[in-house]
Amino acid sequence: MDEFGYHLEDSAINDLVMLMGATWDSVGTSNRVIGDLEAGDLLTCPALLITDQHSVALSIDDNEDLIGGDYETLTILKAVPIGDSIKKARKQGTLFFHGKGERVRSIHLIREEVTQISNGTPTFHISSDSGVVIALESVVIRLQRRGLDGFDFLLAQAPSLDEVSFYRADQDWPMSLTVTHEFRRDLISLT
Amino acid sequence: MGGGSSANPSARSSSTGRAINALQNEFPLGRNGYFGEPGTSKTEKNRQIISEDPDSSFQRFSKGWTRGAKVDSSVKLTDGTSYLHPDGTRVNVRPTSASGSPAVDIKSSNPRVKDQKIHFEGAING
Repeated sequence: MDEFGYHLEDSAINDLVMLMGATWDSVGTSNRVIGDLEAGDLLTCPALLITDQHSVALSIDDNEDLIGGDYETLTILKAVPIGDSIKKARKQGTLFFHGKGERVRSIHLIREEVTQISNGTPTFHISSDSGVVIALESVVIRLQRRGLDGFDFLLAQAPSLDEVSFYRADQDWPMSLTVTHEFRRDLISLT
Repeated sequence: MGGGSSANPSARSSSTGRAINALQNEFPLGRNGYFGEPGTSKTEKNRQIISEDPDSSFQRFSKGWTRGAKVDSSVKLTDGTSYLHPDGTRVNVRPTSASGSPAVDIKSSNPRVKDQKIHFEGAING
């Protein structure tokens, strides 16, 4: 079975950890927002996570890999320099202020895995980081890439960690009589 | 709360709906939500459209599927251009994909179309 791992670099993880305990400002993008899709508001790259002390910009890289006999698009999450993104986002009004002024209580990394099984035999396994879940005092923010081949983020919020809903990346991997895909999602605590 | 465009799903879905309709004769969308036929891999979302002139087919398909969409310069493809429709459907046009053939990725917000990667291949004569 072929194994593929597309995980956030340690420096990006460290950037996210630095949000812990800070006072939340907003989440958004310096690019485009398309509102009210089924799985949340769609944000194009870079996605911005902004607190009073530290901010992080997440982006998504193109990546085509030979998997299961054909080239799949399997994008890669990464942290990028913020530059003037926050200023631009504030100016154009593409920030969301749920939980503004609240303290960041926990941060979880969203990791998604797909295993393809063909005629009963595992063919490949993909493990890929897809975003973050940030718990504030009264609201939880979920920022998730739109599938393992996605170039966008989907933003949603929930009252608690247990009530967070996710984009169903498993729907991107169709089943047939001979080929099935097993899917799992883990929330990895960064704090 | 700031940000977010106004929601009008019927209006926003029109550009992808128009693409499906405009291309229906040459590139019909199957009832299963896919274009073309299954590719060489076991994954159904890998598709291929075979023709005698794959570059020309690729051009016509891409033109139809990017009409009404905006170029998204924040996405850097290895080779190609990424477009975003008002309904959130993303279309990546790749004149040269990793496999060598031109390809189009569709990440669909239109319920009629499934996510897929379509390769344009030449017909083998004889």
